Amino acid sequence: MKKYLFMISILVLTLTASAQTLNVVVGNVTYQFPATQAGDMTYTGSTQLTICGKKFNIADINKIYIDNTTVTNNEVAVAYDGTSAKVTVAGNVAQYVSPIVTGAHVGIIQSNTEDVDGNEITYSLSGTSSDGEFYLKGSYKCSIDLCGVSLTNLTPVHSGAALHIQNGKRINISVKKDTENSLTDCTSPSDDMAQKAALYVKGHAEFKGKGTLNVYGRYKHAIKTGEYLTIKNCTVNVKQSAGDGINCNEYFLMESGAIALSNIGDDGIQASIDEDIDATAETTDHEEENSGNVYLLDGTISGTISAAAAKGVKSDGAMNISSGTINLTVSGGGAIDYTLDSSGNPTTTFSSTSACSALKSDGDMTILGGTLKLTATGAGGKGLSGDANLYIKGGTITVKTTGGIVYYSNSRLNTTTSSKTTERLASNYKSSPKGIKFDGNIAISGGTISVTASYHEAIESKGTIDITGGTIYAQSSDDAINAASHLTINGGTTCAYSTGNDGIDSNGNTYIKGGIIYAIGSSSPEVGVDANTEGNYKLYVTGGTIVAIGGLESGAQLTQTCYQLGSSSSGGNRPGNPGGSSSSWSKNTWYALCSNGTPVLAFKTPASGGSALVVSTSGTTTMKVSSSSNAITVDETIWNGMGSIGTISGGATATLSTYSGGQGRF
Amino acid sequence: MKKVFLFVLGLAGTLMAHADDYPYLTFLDTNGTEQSVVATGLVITFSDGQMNATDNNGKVTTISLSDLKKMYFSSATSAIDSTGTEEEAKDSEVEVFTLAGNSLGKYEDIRQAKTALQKGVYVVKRSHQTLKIAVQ
Repeated sequence: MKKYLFMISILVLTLTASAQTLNVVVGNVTYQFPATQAGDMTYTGSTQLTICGKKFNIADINKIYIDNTTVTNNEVAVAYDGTSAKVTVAGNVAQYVSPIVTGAHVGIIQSNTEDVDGNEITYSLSGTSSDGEFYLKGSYKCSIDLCGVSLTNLTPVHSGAALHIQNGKRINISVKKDTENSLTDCTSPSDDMAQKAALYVKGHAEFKGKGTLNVYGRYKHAIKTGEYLTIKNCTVNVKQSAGDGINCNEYFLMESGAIALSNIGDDGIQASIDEDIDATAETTDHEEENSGNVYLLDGTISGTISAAAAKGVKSDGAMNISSGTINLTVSGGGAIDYTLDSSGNPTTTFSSTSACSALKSDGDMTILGGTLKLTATGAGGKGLSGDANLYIKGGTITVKTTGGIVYYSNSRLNTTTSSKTTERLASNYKSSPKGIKFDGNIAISGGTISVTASYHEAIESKGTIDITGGTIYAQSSDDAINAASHLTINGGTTCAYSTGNDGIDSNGNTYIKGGIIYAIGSSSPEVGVDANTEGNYKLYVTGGTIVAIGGLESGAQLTQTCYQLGSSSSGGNRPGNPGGSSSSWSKNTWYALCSNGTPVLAFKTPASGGSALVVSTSGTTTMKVSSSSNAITVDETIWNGMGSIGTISGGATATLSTYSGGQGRF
Repeated sequence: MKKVFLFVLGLAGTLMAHADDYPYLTFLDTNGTEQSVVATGLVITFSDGQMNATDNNGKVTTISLSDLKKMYFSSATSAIDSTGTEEEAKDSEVEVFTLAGNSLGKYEDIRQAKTALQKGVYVVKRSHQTLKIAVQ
């Protein structure tokens, strides 16, 4: 029975799939008026025919024919086919749409200023042309459906873009499911074309749909919008851009989907403040927002950016990362920024050096979640950088920088791997390859963070650093973690490993109040945990579970009792006898720090470091050492395998003696 | 059983909706004369100041653009087959009827009929042609 009902329904639906339509053909444009909508079609003089408000010059009409085409209201379909394009216009919007078709170059003037029959006009693009474009001029919102369209603009007629929407309203760009679309701009537009991108929208663009869009911006940006840009679901592959991969004003918001960046001539994604209107902060529902902010709610951003001083993602305003996956490598070297003249054009006068950064925000950066893998390989390149504050509250963040320092000297750029070469240069004369660097404060309250910097600080703030949570591993050849002002650790688990300087350092006071800290400094005069004693600042230890290889800055106020490994008669690491005659710890060896008899931290010593090993806990502090006959075992590790706060067992008792500070400068 | 009944009712409704197709396209000229042609497969072209409507059988209906006022889809031809034009009937004897089908007599030609008749719409027959005229 079901089978028969199904067959009958298919038959009836086939019978009803068609509808009587009057087609008016004008060149490559067909206007389709359903018979039920056509009404009175009036002739004026001998020259004009008006149907549903659309006035036709009779001399332009090739023919009119009646068939059974089904017409979708509000739709304009453009089918590209090599050197030509056919445009089909639904009758109910015909009076508002004026197509100009030259080969496969389609330009449309849209004149409605409100919905038509309760809806906006939708332009459906399909087919292929190796010399075509779609240009739309209008002043009301509309939708562009990409239904498997491939356009390369070779010889522009309306614009050098493959898709140019000269409309300052909201434009939906719907990348239809199961379609692959490709847009390529002209390489050498004429001067009057003002070509800005392969896909350009004057207004605000909302990308959606579960299809794939490939964009080649051979002349300037790949995608550019004059106002905000949002992405949901679709896959956008920027295959090439002479300028930015994606460039927008007001704000950039990625709700989901995927963006892949390759062959990028400048920044991967850039959001700027529109200078023609007043700037705003973030607004409710982003209404009338002009913040230059970047919002990454979910989705995937990946790619390699190779231009000098380029950024993977850059915001004029704040950058907020909630979730998703970001996998970016910036490989370019440094560049010189010159001063600007009164017209905003660069002069030949040096202003500063600049370098790459995987993520860069001019405003605050806040990371709530997500998986971030950021790599910088060029000179001066950074993982995360910003002009304001950084807040890390969650997520899994891996940053690696391997480039040297780029600096300006003898009227040119130079590179070095030694910070001593550049330590006396003003900050604008050098760009250093720090893992994370912010000009404001850094506050870490959650997340799992691993930062390695081959030739400079792993984590640096030009303000304060506050750590209250999270699992942090920082390794560098310079200070692993450095604050230009005060540094406070009151929670979390932090490993700061420096192979050439202090593990933890501040240019103000350093406060160790809580949390688990494993700081490794290199040989004297560097220490595990430092403060700016020379500037009359101090290290304050009032709490926490602490291991400091290289010891603590002398003159520290040790409210919580600290101990050093080995007996006090071992000849090393006492005030007045810095850098004692023998190391008190074994390299590459597991130790377990116990509080009130319970192991609270197991740590593995490095291959080299400062000679003192200082520990402290909030309870009665003892320590164990691993040996071949009594190994310390752990169930899981943190800090790149250098520590464990899981289940810790084994080890022989190690000798501790009192400690009052040292293996620093006195 | 109820489900099957509702299902079939729904399909029937769909079929009825398709019955909205119009069988004719009707042209109205400036004199009030209507001419209907079968809509299915109709093709209209314009040349030399004329509108040419060619139906599925290749029959062409030609109307001068200067006489054409409007066209519209229609469900009926008002029972009149548009097989002729006023121009064709101008030198022939014609018989005039009301729309209800009552004969009003014969006239030498259509011009004479129009002069004699009061304002209104009439059916005019001449040999094998029938058309509708409006006297203003």
